[in-house]
Amino acid sequence: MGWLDKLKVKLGVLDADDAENLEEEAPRAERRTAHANRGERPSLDGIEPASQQSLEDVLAAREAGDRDEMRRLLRELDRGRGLRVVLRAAAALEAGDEAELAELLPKLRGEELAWRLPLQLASVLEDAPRAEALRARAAAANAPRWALAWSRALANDPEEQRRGLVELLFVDPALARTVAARDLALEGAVADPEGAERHAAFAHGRQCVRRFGAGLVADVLDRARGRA
Amino acid sequence: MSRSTLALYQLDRAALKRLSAELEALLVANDAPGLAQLLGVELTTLEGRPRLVDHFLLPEGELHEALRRAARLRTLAPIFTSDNPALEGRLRAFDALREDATAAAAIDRLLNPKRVPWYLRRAGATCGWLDEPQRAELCKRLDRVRGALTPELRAFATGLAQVDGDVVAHDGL
Repeated sequence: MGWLDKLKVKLGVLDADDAENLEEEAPRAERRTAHANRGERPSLDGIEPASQQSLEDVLAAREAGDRDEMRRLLRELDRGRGLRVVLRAAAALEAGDEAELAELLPKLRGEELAWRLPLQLASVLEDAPRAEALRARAAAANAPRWALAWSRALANDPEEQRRGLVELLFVDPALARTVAARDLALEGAVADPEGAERHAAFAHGRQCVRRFGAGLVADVLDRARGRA
Repeated sequence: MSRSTLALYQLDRAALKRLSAELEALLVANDAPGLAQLLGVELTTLEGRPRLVDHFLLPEGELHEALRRAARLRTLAPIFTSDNPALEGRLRAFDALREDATAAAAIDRLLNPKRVPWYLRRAGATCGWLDEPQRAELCKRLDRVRGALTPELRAFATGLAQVDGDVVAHDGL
């Protein structure tokens, strides 16, 4: 993570996991090429090379039905925090691997998962009461107003959605316009460059849990809280 | 093409809070007659979108203009309008002001659109707000270097001193 991303994490524009994930979204192939073009530099003794895999590879394996490969990739990617460990735990839960799950659950109780992941889940869950419970949990964990409003703006209930959009417009108008354009595909709406970065960081995690299976991820969060 | 010039307005902060609350309530309630009345537009102007808030999620249009006009009439009293398009550039770059960190920070706040509610902003326009203590402090700082100021900056300093309370700067109202 570069200094600019570190600063953004500090300011709350980006969270650490998203910054790493966005880094993965960057053209990894180019970085590999650049590395290869440096010549025959010898490898450093005792230093493991960083994984070249990404969450995209994990999701592709899952979508191809290769659960063993998916879990192998998740173990390789796991850095002990953030979305990767959540998905690894969800995969363990799905496979009934209680031993691995028991090892991972304590890592899911960290502060960084207090509001962001619940709101990302609430934005994609079709189970409205469960989504509302996750929003309430995020609010209790001092989620920022923009994040709560955004999550409401994507609710299935039209009234809740309207309330969320209005609140978002007052709290973060650039993000509201971006959400209108990108998430709601509002005719004539145009994403605002000032809201695009915050949108990208939050939407990446949301898209990952949607593709992985929001219900399963919500289940593992419940397990982490000792609810199931 | 003529360049816009910066103007200073005395802000009625209580009225602005009331307007924000009223606008938010109308949008949440999707109250078209109420919003039409607030904006001073025909009800038909608000047709075509199931949610009223959607009108304000679109790029700048007639309703944004109407809302700014309503906000100006209800919350802002014009005090000073510069006749010199170079004023904003002078405020942002004049050495005697930039060398005073407090004055420079106050000027930057006064020219920062993020400091005014979304409905007072206009794409491409300069605007901002200072509360009374910040405005008074900037007046003092301008006074200290008055002799070094250019004519448009001196006029600005005089205008700023005439404001009694919070001040909003805007070049697109």
